[in-house]
Amino acid sequence: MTTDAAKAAARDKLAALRNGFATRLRERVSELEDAVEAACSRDDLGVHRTESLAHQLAGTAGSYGFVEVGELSAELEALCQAGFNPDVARSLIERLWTALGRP
Amino acid sequence: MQISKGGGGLVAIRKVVLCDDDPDIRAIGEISLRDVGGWDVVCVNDGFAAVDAARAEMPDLILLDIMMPRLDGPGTFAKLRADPQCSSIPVVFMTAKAQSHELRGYTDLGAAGVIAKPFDPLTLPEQIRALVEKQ
Repeated sequence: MTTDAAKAAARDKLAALRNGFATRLRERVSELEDAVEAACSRDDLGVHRTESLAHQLAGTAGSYGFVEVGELSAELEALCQAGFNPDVARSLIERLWTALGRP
Repeated sequence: MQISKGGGGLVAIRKVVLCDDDPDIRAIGEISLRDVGGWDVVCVNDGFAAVDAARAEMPDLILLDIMMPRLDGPGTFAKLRADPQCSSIPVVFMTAKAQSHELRGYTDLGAAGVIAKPFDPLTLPEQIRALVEKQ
């Protein structure tokens, strides 16, 4: 196992990665929002794409420390599997934007 | 295929193949496994590349995402198990779907274990080591 100094260096690298991820996160949520709108138009492909994008974000965002974004994405993924509800989906998207700092 | 060298360590795991189609997971996983775990890391982005990397690199462990296009985690695992060269390499799955019945299913396939996403990059190597030692 690595030393404390190596772990500290890893933390610095992870922090830099996190900053990069944060700048891309808005694009990913925007992409997810577009998929949700397609799904709201009764587009089955939109539901599938929403589920896929939400699944990826659920696993990735939390690993980068964006816990709330990860949890909301997991809720959206579950919604796609349980039966897509446009109102709930749009509400989750709004909560995602709020979590990112957009009012 | 991307290879990064770690500092080695006092454990049996020295080289890991990390397979995930998400570049952000590969990036954070690589730092975790190499800089925290001290392991050499081979990163690949799909199941077919994982099988090629396993044959070429003979890693001590393969960390395998489950949901991937073209060839998913279980499909990749089946190919690895069917290849005499790679069949004994321990495989740990990673998934954002971590319901308990699903976890049992993956270990019933013969995997060493399952890591749930999101994971903590500072403790991921420790989690993996615990799974492999348990097996």
